[in-house]
Amino acid sequence: MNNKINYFFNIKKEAENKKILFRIGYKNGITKISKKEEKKFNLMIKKSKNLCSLKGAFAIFKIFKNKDTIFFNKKIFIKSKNLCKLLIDSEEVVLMAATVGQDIIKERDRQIKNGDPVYAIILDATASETADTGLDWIQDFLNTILAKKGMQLTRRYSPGYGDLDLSVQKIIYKKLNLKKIGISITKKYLLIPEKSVLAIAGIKKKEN
Amino acid sequence: MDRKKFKKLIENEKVILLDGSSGVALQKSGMPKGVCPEKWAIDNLHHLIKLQQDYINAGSKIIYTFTFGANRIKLSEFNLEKKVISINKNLAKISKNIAGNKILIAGDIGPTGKFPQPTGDIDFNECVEIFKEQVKGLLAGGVDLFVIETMIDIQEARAALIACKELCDLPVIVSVTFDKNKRTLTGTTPEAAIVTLQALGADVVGVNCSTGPKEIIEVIKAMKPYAKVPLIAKPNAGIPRLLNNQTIFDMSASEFASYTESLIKAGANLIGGCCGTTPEYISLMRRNIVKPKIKLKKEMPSAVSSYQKIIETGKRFILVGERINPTGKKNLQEELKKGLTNEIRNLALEQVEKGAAILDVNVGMPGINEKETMKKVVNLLSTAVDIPICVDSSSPEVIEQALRIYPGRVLINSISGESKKLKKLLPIASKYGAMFILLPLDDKGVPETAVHRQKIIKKVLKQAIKFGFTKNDIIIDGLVMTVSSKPNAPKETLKLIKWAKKNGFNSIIGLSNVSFGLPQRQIINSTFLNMAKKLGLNFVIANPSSDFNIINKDAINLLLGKDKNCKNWIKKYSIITEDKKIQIKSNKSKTIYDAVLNGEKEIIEELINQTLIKGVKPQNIVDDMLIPAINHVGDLYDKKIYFLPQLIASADTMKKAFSILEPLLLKSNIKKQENNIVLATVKGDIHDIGKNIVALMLKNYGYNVYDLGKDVDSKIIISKAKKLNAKIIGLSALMTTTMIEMKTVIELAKKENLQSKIIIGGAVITESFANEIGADGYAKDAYEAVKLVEKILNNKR
Repeated sequence: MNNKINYFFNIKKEAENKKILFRIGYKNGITKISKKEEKKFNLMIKKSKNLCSLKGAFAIFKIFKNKDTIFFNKKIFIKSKNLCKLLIDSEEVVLMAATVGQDIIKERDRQIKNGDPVYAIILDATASETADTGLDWIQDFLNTILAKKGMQLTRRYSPGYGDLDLSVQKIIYKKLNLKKIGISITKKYLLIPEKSVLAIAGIKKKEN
Repeated sequence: MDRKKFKKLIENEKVILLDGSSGVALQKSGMPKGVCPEKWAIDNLHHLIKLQQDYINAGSKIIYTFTFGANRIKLSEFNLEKKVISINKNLAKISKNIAGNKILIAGDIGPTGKFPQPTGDIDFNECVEIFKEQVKGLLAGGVDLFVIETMIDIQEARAALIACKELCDLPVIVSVTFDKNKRTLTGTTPEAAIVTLQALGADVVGVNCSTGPKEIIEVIKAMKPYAKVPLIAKPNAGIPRLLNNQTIFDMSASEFASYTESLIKAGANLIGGCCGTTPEYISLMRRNIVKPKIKLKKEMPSAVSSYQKIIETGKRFILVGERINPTGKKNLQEELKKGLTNEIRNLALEQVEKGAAILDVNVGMPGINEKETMKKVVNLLSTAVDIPICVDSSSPEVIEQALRIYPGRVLINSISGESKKLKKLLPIASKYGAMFILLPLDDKGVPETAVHRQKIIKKVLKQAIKFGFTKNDIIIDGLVMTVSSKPNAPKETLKLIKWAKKNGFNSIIGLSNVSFGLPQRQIINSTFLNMAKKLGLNFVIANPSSDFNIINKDAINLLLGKDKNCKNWIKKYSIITEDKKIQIKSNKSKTIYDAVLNGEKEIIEELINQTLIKGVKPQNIVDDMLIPAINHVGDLYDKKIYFLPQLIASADTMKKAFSILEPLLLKSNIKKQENNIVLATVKGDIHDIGKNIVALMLKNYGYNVYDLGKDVDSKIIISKAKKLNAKIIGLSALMTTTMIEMKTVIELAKKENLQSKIIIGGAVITESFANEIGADGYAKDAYEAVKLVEKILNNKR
């Protein structure tokens, strides 16, 4: 594989309903919901999933690193001790992105303002979980390919977590040319559509 | 080698031994990582020659060319994209020379590493062209057949298969890779893979790479019941790992070969090894070969497929959803004119929800490019739903477009006996392996009687057989005509259905035509469907939302032609009003408290009205019922027995209750809370769902909430708070880059001597951050925010 960008315009992978509910506070064995509520939430989740248009992108890049910085080249680098630790066995990284599109966000905002706020929350959680599912799918795809070479991905790490600054979103955004899947980025490094996620993962030898 | 000879060869040999891995084996011979494998093999020919010779000595009867990655996209990684033809030709020639006349050489085609549409960004036809370039090179090198292997996306496999078929008539093996859940990466099951690929013309279908032999046996077993073509199994020697920069496979040759008999018994006729296997593995496999009686089906299974799954006839009654059709649907027409597909998606999902097993897709209307629209819609439906499609168009070009790009086996609606259409459509249906609905009319029009229709069916069948079709591939349309204009038409349709069943055909009807122009159409339609089902009908095209359980005696008489001019029906059923009883839910047993607790917004109004009628004062409803109930909800939420949607459902029920009681409370001169609260998501941040939930909760506790929205400048927040004399300012931020803006707001408030208390929250906010920037409070969620506000304002309830 090289650093050419791969785009996916229709990722067919659904988020798990339980994971969506976990996002909004559902606790296994503690939270109690009636059959009627369960049916209602599942129907809302189904409708929410239908509004997701899951797209994604990834590319692989060679990196150089020292203790706290990884370099794509002399000019482009990322400072993060956590990331350097994660990438300790990696000479290449995957930059990846997923987005659920704008429709579900519009519907959520409509529902919270003038409709059903419960549905709005389900829409929001479904969108978040689906975006993450998009990254899971890209990781599955890469792991399938890498397994043939005895390699695998490390876990993924997203800007904004730990010491990985949110500004790294701009680097990933540019490297993946995410405009192509309908994502834009603000001056404060926020992504639009809101439920878009970026991540970085290392490529390393497969563990036994 | 032509396709018939190849088939005969497999039938005679029963089991054909293939080769093992090449890439990993050449790595062991010194091929460094990071080089172009094909180029390295050409530059270091003796290694490839030795390896292929070793496979032949081990017993391989078919050797793959070393061209797995020799397509334009893969070669471009090494700036060799202009050498596609020469590399493929060279490597094919080399293998041909090694093999001589007794061993067959298969031109090996692997994935490009990119996905064609609908999953990826490469146009499907462009993908076909990329493979065609490789096929041309391999043909020039003199390959005997093709093998398309290690495909993780069925659509890419289809593109490669079409490329082979459009350039030559050599046999093609297609081999797919499945994960441990027996799915390709894009979700295709082994059943869907075999149905789709053999219909499209693959001569052998099966599985390679994936996992070890044990798991692959299960994939072969899943494919076998649907296989008309022989199956191939070429497993890895287990799962690889990297040791000292070498890819290691832990399964030994003897353990690998011990699965040979099981692979053959599961149904594999062509066997070999993939990653990690060597000539030693193949040699041991040869010793374990058993020769079973080969049983290949003569007909394709009567099944259509989607990207993911199959729908098989004979297993259950199949409902084809009819709603994706712009006729009579203004919204859909408008959308299609604008090039939008939201309504199509909704119609598709709604029909799947109601039980459709296949979706009829008709986008024919004036003012649009039907072919382009069909392409867009088919791409959408390939991934939006997991059921197959039935392409419905009067244009052969439009039908061909859909068949070419759909990642499954399509049903065509329809092919009639009209000579021009028959001539155009049968070759198209045959090329893409579609099933089709046979409409029994011809150039003379629609025959009135079942007997005449049977003649047309026989005529079309005779032609279809020439293109390789069997009765399994055909569904007879019962040709439903309107009973009000042709009283005997339903009887003739029923006769035809009975005949179809007796003669081994599937049959289908477009249901709604039968009742056109009459009252109470639903009753007629449902009755007719049930009559037809009894006679063997196994498909219907209808609206899945309809009620199909009604059987009515008057309708039976009408449909059997016993109700002259439909007089009885019209007389009896025109005057019937909808027999729908409006069921008013009895809420007697419910209380306002329970309704809030359970978040039952829909019954709160009625309960409040009932309570007011009883003379309970509005303020008492608030104090004694609503507030205790919402406090109980809060308590349950604190204990995590309730989660966010339940909390919000209760809060929303409260909101509705307040909206009813508010005017009455004002009338009774009871003061409403006069605490103004200003809420905002800070400048630079666009996330506001959390803040919106806080707003909702606070409103439901009776506060006057002024929500300024998202990305709000500090000056606006402060000036609004001043103007409203707000007791509280609530700030929200989701990201680390925007949370610092909260400090700016607090500093400005101090500068302006504002007395409002400032509380903050959001995903990245913590208590310590709140303290650090001098906020008056922090809440981790909406309910905490309410409690914090109550505490600050000293409101105890």
